[in-house]
Amino acid sequence: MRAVSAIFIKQLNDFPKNISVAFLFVMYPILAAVMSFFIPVEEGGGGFFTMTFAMMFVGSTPMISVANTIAEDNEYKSLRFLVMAGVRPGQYMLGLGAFVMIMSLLPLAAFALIGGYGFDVLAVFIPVALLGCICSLVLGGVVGLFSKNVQQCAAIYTPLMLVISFVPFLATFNEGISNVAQILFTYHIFLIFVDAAGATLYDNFSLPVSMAVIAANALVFAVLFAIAYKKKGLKG
Amino acid sequence: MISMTNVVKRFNGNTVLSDVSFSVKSGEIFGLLGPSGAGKTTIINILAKQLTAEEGSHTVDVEDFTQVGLMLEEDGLYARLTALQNLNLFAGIYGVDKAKTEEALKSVGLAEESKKPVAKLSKGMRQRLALARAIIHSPKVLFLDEPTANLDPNTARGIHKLVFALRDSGTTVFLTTHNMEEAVNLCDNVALLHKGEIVEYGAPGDICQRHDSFKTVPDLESVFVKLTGVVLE
Repeated sequence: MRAVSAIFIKQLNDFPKNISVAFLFVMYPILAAVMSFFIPVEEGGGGFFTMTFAMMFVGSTPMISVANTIAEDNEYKSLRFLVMAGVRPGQYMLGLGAFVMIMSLLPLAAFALIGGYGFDVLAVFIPVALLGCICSLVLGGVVGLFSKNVQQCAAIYTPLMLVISFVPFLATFNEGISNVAQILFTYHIFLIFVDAAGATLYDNFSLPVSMAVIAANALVFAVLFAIAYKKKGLKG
Repeated sequence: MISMTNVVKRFNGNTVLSDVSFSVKSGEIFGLLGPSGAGKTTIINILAKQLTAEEGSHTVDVEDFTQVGLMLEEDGLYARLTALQNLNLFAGIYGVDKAKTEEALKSVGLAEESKKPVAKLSKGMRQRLALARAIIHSPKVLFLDEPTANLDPNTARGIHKLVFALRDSGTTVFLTTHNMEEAVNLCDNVALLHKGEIVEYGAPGDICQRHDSFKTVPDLESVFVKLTGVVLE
């Protein structure tokens, strides 16, 4: 527990100084606020942009935060000193993951305010968004483990972010893309958000199917993480 | 306390350590001497479990590896965090009282830089901070890779004093250096390493006597040149 809280505090101290990562936590809520204010969209329950940017946030920000931190700690050999000090890989991931999850609650609260969600919507929005954050940060762990340095990490997560965050958005305009998006956890998170807000984007929405796809994504990411960990390890 | 027996290490088929054996007694300052590329850092990395040897055996006699302090050439410090935040992180991990972080900073002469981000510290200051991190938990064994390289003579003397104080408090210090004068002044025993082989081993004074190499002070450097033909930078 001592090591986990030390890692958590380290992340907390580093967060305001790591501008590129901190920016991701404020960018999506700001975009949601600006777009919702200037372009009111009826379809999607009045919170179309809020849900879209919330989905983009969930898909990309935890992934990039975790991947970037692991790659940076690897590149500058900080991880080596943590491991030498007795920090176990699980403790490192737990400290890092807990920090990202707790920090993610702030933008999610901002989305809820911007969207004007009532309790009934929030009861679905927050747990589903947090579930998405877990998928995203496990995927970030995979990217971080496979990256030798921050530059390589960015080269991996940038296309991934585009696929995970933008394909579900583009799917609302194009049926072909929508068929491809069916396998993405972010697409189903988006569908659940929309459904919770009382709107219908697609007639064939099914909550069990969406939850099953999210669970399948989580399982695939967990297996990938196990493989990456076995191959690369967290030792700096 | 620390020993290596017949250790062989190869990188991509090239032998970088060949049949290396030595032992370090508890509570002594041991120096591994040699020019760049001799294999000093490889030995530290093997002992610190960062690398594995192809052949031979090695031990560091501690109950738990958290009783080891490590200062390597790549310092692994968090550049955006302040000096104090870097030390507090490790104090938190080791469960050491936070008051000890300020004490450690003071001992390496960085008390006034405690609130500065590491990115704004000079290379010498970063090195001293890395040393403070290595000793914050009062380790039983301390590995120092070129601890005074890039430091001005005054600061280097301060580091020497600190190393003596650590030895006197019972810490076993294992250091690498290519500074022969430093080795003579600092180490109880040394091993001279050349192209991955130990060419001499013992107390600096004894080695110099064996090779009839005393000037006004034991001249370890001329022994090294005599044995290897290599002139140190």
